[in-house]
Amino acid sequence: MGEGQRAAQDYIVPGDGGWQLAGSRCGACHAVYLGARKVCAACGARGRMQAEVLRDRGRVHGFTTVHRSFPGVPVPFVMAVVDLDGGPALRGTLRDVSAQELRFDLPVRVVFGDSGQRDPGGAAWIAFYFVPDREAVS
Amino acid sequence: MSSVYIVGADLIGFGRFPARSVPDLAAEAALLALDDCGLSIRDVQALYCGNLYQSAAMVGQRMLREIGMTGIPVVNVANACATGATALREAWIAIRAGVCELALAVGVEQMDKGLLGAGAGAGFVAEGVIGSDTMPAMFALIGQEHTRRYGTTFEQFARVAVKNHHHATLNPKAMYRVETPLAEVMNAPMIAYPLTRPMCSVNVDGAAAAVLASEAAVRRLGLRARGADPCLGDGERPLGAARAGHGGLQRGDAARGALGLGAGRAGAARSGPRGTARLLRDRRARSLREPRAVLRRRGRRADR
Repeated sequence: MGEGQRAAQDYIVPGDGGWQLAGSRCGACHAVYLGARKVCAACGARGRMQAEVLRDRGRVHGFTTVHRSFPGVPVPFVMAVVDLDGGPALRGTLRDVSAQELRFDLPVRVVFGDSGQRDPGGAAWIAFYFVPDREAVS
Repeated sequence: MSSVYIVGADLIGFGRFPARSVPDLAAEAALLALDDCGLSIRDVQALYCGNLYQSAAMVGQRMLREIGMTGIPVVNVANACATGATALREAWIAIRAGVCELALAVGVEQMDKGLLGAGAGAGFVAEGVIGSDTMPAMFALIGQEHTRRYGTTFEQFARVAVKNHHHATLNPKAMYRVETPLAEVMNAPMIAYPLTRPMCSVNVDGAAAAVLASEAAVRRLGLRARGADPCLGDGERPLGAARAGHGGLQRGDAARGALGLGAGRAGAARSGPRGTARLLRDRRARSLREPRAVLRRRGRRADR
């Protein structure tokens, strides 16, 4: 959040206690989305979307360990789809997880950190990651 | 509403053809499909051309520049993995709607090696940081959804690849035609769990084409004897049932021969709609009874 940091995605926004995930909720059908929306894609309602900060806890819905990627991308890494508490489902990289603990419904937290990449001005691109939530009740 | 028929279909041998152009590959497939039903590009009233990688490059028009600039309407279609199928569907819709009577649908692609996906762009690169955009990783997640719901195992996914590679050995137009045993599939380099390399589609150049016709056109052009089935949306038969023989069928006796019909029965079969229905029924029953090799032999005999 300090100088020289830049959100890697527009749904990663500064909050009171640090970075957070921006979402939106439909006032008509209560569908939740990552990032801003003008119209609800679930029910089609217009003018009913309200900004909402997404929760930083969830559970692994699906996962794959990626062993081959585009040239220059470090592998392996785990890609997971996480059902965030309160919604929505979100795809990202799951870090610091062992092969033994990797499973469906694994509780995870959302954390934010330096992607290691820099913008042309030298600022760090800040990304979100999932990490196992080892304090959660499974 | 009258039925739509696939009266001709064929594809080129798949492979890597860096020296050839996309319209050139499309043209070869189109001519093969036209030959399959003994028609000319001049009989075609509309072209639906599916291609993804050159979707802004007017592949359909460029193909016609190679095989016949007849002035027909051309629609270029791009729809990811369903691109060729969508071209076929659009041709079906046009005929079904009565806009034209005979349409050509083509699907063609020329691909680079390497993983399919978004690739790296300028600025922040999300790959690896926020999941993965490679096609194997995406389909791995879809496979894992199957596992989540049904408990599908790595070995079961691998067996799908073993079966598919076996099918390729029977297909003279497939690029790789080698049996790939289960152990080889399971022990191959992992791309994105549960997908190993032989479980991922190979990037390849290829083209396929189909000639679709209305019932009236089938009658007018004497294509009934080809035994073409009504296709898509009629709810009677899967699309794959459209052809009995294989390659280079001609109208008339040769086609009847290829369909395994004796001359006497063929005469009856040509007499009208009821006869056609019988022809189709007989052919289907026959193709169920007889092994593929027999049909293939008949097809070859008919070619002579």
